[in-house]
Amino acid sequence: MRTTAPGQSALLLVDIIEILDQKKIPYAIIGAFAASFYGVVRASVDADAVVSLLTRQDSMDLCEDLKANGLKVEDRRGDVDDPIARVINIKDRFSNRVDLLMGIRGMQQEAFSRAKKVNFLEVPIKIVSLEDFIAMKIFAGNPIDISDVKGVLEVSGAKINMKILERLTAAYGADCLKKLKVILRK
Amino acid sequence: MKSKILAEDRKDLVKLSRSLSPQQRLLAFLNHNQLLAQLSKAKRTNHANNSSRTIRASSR
Repeated sequence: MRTTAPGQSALLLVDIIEILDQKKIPYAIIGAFAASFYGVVRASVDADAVVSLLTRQDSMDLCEDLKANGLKVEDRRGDVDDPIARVINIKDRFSNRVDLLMGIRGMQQEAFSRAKKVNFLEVPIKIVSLEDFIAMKIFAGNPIDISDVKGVLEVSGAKINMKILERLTAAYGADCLKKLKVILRK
Repeated sequence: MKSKILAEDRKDLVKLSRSLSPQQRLLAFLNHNQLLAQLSKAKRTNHANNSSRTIRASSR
């Protein structure tokens, strides 16, 4: 494992990505990591990735592998009305934390194939596409999410495919599309 | 709240972010989090030292 101290959740995520890759589990990095990649850098105590919805057995195998690497693992399920079906919380001994989210309502399976492949510390990683990131953040809708969207528009706005963005945002609901249009007008 | 100073700060931050490549921003993200964790640890250590000094002084 790469972590040696607190504040290294990004490194913990890289370790976990190697495990996901070994198991051929599709994933895409989201959250502050992706926000920093596309927009304005901000701090976060954790690192997040969205993972393709796993079968019970695959999920158990993954949790066992993570535990075998000395990590604390908690597998939590969302309520019926929760927009997230399931989260695996992973912590190391320095309290670095990674959340693997599964089954985000409105997110398309193709988001995994659209993810951008880049290298981080010489490790190939996949970051959710620019358009998927914005659509997901608008769906999440908290002030920090909207602030991330504004940062991304200011820094990487010229690279956005507006047609794709509108289509992906609409998949999260008409309200999300309305919110996107308001943000784009400003 | 609208603040001219904050708006200018934001403009500078965006300009700085644009001047970095996405990969450089990822490294900045990692470094920023590590520095904040160190700062937080130093704050806790300082607080603990101050508390024990206060306890020692009051018990004299």
